[in-house]
Amino acid sequence: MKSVHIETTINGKPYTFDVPARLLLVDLIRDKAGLTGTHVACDTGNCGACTTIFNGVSVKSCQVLAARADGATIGTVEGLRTANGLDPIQEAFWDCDAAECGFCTSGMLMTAVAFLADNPDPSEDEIRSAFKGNLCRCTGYLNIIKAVQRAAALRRASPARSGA
Amino acid sequence: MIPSEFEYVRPNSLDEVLALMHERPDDCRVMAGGQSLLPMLKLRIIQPTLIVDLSKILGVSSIAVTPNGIEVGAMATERAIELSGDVRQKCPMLAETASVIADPHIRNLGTIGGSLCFADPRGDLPACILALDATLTAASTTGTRTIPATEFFVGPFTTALREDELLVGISVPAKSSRTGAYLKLSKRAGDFAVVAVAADIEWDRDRVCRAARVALCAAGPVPIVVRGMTELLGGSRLDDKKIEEAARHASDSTEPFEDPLVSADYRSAMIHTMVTRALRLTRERAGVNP
Amino acid sequence: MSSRESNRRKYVGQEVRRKESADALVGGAEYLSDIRLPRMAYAGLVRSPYAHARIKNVDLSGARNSPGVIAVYSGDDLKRATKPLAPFPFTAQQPYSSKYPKLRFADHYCLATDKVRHVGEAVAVVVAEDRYRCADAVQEVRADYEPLPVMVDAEKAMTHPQKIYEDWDNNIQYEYRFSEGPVAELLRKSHAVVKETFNLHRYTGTPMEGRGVIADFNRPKNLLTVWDSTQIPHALPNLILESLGREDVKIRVVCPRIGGGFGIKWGFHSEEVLIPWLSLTLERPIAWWETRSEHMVASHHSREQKITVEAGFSASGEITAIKGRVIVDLGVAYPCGGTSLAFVTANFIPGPYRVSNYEAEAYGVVTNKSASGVLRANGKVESNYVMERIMDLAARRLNLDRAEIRRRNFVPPDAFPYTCVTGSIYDSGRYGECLTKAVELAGVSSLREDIAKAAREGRYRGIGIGFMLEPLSSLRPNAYNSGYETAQIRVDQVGKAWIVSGDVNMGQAHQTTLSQIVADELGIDINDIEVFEGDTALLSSNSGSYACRFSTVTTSAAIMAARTIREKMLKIAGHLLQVDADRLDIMGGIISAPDGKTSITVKEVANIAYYSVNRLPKGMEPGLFGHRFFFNPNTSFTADEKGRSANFSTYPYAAHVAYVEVDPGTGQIKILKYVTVDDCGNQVNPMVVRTQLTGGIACGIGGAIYEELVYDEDGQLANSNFSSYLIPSMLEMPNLELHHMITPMPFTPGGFKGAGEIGAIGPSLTLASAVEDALTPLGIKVIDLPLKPEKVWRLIHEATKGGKAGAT
Repeated sequence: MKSVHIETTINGKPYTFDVPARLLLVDLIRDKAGLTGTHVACDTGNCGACTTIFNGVSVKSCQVLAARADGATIGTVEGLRTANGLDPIQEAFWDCDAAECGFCTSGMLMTAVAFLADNPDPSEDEIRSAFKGNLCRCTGYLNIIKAVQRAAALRRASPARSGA
Repeated sequence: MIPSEFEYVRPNSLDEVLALMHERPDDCRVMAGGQSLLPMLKLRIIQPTLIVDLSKILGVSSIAVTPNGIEVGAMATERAIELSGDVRQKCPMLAETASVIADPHIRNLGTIGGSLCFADPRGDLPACILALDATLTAASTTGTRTIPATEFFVGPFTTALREDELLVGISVPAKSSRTGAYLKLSKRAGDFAVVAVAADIEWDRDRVCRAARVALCAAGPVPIVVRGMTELLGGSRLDDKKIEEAARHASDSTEPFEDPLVSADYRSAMIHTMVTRALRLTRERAGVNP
Repeated sequence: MSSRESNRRKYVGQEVRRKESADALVGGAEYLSDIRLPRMAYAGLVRSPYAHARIKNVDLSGARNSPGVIAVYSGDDLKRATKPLAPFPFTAQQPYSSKYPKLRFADHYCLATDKVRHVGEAVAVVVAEDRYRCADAVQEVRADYEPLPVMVDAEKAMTHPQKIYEDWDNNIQYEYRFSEGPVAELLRKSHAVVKETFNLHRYTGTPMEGRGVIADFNRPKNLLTVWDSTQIPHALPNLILESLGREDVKIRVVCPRIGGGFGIKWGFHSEEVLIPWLSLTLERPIAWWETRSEHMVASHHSREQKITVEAGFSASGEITAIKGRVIVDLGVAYPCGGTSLAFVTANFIPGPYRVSNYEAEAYGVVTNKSASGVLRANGKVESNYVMERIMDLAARRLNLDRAEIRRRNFVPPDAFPYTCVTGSIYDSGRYGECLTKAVELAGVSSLREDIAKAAREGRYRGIGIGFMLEPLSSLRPNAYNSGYETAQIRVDQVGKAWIVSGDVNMGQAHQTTLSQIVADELGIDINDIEVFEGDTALLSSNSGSYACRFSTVTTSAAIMAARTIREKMLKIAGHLLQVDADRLDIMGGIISAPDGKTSITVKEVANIAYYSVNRLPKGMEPGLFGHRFFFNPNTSFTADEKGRSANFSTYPYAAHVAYVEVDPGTGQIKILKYVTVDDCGNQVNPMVVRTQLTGGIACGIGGAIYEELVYDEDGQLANSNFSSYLIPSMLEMPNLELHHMITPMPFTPGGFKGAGEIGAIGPSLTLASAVEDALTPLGIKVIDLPLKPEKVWRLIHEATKGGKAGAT
């Protein structure tokens, strides 16, 4: 079959699509679901701007066929904010000036969310290793490290506020 | 950036996959984690007619300790291998290798089977399993067969698998007392290796080397087991002089390719440097004081 | 207290959180590829796989028949219908009235016709209903080429009979010469002469978002709207019309949110003519944005220069004279600003040092590679690198401390404004103090003990010292960078301020910093301000964002515009309160007299200014509006009879100190400590300054060690994607210790100098210095870049195997 039927959940909301089999997951998210917060910045799976959460783990959504979304649960940057406000990771990024042009930011945020879920009290080295698949050209990364450390502290202080 | 059109199926069982591979051996491309496949599809380096998605198959992704060693299902992710307590305990060099592949997002999906079958000369897992003296299990509609790792990698991006065979498992044999190291030299952490060394040493009770396997990644068109390591290092405590001999031998017995970004003489010298360091680290991990 | 100026600093100087992050953090910022228009179609380009070839034939039939295809065109179609690309950044073919620089242009149409001259040059375009089918159709275009000999060496190309452009007499596009003083004689008489030839490698800026253009022609309105991720929106309407050969249609250029620029989006590119033409022709919105692989060949590169410097020194280390020869590899002659490189580098080799005798010749040479254009700290990464290497080598030769030899040569603090030998007027500076501070803060003396200890263990550690001066905010005669910026501010009926500036935000926090500045000038709350940039329907200016001019001219225009409004508000308030306007102040949106009781709010004044105009002073027009232009200070458009010209206004500077360990087995460099002292004048937002410096240093580290564009003899680019073109990740970025000094820019109301680029200059020269120091026992010299492990290893290998010490 050159097309696929997909039933998936994105940010807690169910979606149904019939799309070409070759459609990339990032294009499903951006073009079919209209969630353009996830970005494409390379074509070889190196930059991480397309990072989303897929069945609980961080993945580069340009490296996944949309077909795999069938039966899967997906989290994107649009799902981080709640009715109560921004996720602690978003606040931390803001406080630490961790976003400049913003193009890599959603990938950084989703990586942070997945990483902190597994590693709530990370060392600086662990943070650096976790983000080696997320490239940024503006900030020089150091503010992102601080933001992740700050978010980790905020999450440890009030776990109820933790997002995705 | 956009793949060409293809048909796509996502079978529910291994038998279905094998049947498809038997029916359409010429145009069937299986997809495990997809982390090597997707870039090739996006750059249109390959334009397959049928993609068979393996992600729904059960029973080929577990990691199990047995009396013979460790059995790793082909669909086990690199991340699972990296984090597995069993692997870290029984075969730490395998976990260490997995941990230096690419980045966490890629490792969350990339599988050991996919990496081995992709057989990129710069791939980390092929060199690792060569040094571990592993055996691979392939399945087809006619049954299963085992292939020693040393016979698996026959050319760049080419394995000994038939067109209708699927890799289903990797067996790492237990050795009574072993230490190892996977040391990778790359321009940035996680990049494809300039050169990487997988070293595995078996020690006897007196902490004397009984057997030695050193495999090299990115040193040639296929991952290379350096011949004669047991002869060179056996009976020693891996003193610096022996290590130097082994490193020189490894460097002399390989002819790395020249590429526009890394010249062959540098690569050659790095084989020497990294074999030295990998063997020293292996010795250190065994607590051996020569 | 004057009614014109506020001396309140509630926001300027504070670490205000970026307004721009509000939407970026929730995925709500709209970048070019997020734009969706009804009936939007997609364009895909067919690009040459050859570096130099005649185009024999382009067969479009396969593509035409491809599903979903709307139209297909080749170079011949476009040549009939359009004109050559306008010669950005110049508005005239002969922009200079002086003898030098000499400059010429090539006619490039937006699709190649007879010849292709670099890998990636576009030869055909496909328009289809969606991106996926467009990609399929692009594959179906069959272009036949007859390969021609390829020229990839700029120095050889200068005199080689084989020409890239057949109607030129040679391959030199640009030539600049300068001479002041008896340089040859002084060099001969000098106590010591240091001469080196530096081969600097090619690399690029790779913003995370590539280039892209969307055009939508509305025939009934005669309006062409062009969305473009560009740094020069205000130049584009003119450029596009000229390149289309039309005058009739109205063009509005809109910058969506831009995902980084770094100079790579400062240029005029083929697609910026082609996509508008497609929309005009097909009368539908047409979208195009590049893939990363496309970006690596279709967007421009920079930094590739071969520079020979010969510098004379007295026995005590004072520079006597300098001679420089600069050869810039320009790739193809596209209008993306590469022609400035030779001039800028040659002009600023003397840098922060007192040099009265200087001779330079500089060439921009075309080759069969992608075009070279501007890139962060354009031409100054190169000029600072070579001069700093020379200073280190001179220190070694004369047995002087590296910091001391620099101090002996710096322009002293009392010499400002200082006219340098090539004519630029340096604004203000305390160079020696900056360097001394950096050396002290780095703790160099205790690091030396550390180094000795490491040496006893057979490890190589070293300290690098570097100083950099960055001329900024440039203008050029007869060019789009025409020497001013503008800001238009309105305070509306309810007291909110709306700012439009002619600059462009690509991540430098313009919205935030302009809000801070104007909030202070008007005495209102920062949240009562909204800032717009990059829309030619709202404002007309000359170009956009480059050379950190925001800090010089844009902020100044905004300050002047705000003061116009402030003055008027106080006049109105004074009239209403019966108080002398000069005695009024505005704070927190309240205009009050010194007695603290007599007051009126900004909102009330604004309301009256629009709705109760009978209450305004007699003869006063309604409204609260300021629109001012601010010219680049201490600059001139023309060169004098000696060829001296002052093209840059503003001169921030910095000193970097790096402490590194070199692994002799692999050539890898580990940065253990990196200390900087920056003087970017007054700072609007210190948090933004630190982030900009950090990002700049990351780019500099990439350029110093990891990034290089490698072309082979056939003009094929070996690394055309992110798996082989390596930009630093979080793991390659060391922690930094950032310090600052403040010596204000004396010729602008704000006194800001700008911190957006200077970080990129430091790492290559500082790490070269550090590697040389670490390998002192081996006596090597670091000359060429990049400092990639293989190169460093080779230096060590040559030195230790008895090879010629000093070879690179």
